[in-house]
Amino acid sequence: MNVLDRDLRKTVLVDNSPHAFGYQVDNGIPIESWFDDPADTELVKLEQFLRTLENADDVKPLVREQFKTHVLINEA
Amino acid sequence: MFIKQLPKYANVAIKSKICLPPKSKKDRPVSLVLDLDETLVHCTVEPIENADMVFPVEFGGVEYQVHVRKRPFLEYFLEAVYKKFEVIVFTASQQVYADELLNRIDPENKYIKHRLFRESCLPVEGNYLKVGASEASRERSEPIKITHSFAALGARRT
Repeated sequence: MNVLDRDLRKTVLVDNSPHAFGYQVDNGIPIESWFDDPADTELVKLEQFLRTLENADDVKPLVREQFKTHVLINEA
Repeated sequence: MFIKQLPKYANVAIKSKICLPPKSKKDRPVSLVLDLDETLVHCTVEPIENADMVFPVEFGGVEYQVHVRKRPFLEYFLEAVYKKFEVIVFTASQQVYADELLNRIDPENKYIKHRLFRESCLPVEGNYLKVGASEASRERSEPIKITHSFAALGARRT
């Protein structure tokens, strides 16, 4: 059982935590932590990337190709 | 390293439960699950310069003033994504704080379809896991989202 009950091919998680994506890194979109920088534009960049997912059959390959989080984990 | 060393999923998944209603036919096909603290906003119980809003939250019999800065382009972002995705906010923060904050960010419940809080998360090795996936999903593996536990009530570094 789990809390979200959503198809993984149709789910993305956005989180600033380096731990954020646990068992499913290909569903995770990392974003830089924000505290006070008034010139930050990460939400604009994120929105642009998300446009590519709106009609995707499976979001995971697109997220994997864009962020390569699995590479970072293997190198950790 | 934390992700590499996660315990086997089966060992941590025993107490989780589904907290979201099933998708309805009018929902957008892709679900966008957003973290809150340091992703969309920065909050603290210490006074900060240029706060976009300040509101009280009572926790443990004590009233705190929560000072909030909104990340630049937050409104632009929410306005753009809510038409394209089923937007869910999933935070490791306490509901008492996060609800008050989200009521102010999204007063008409226009942008955010569902809210999930710390109470939905699994505490595992000092972190809060957010377990997401459908048992009915054709995928065998299940995702887990983890955020730090120190997000409660915005009591964190400024």
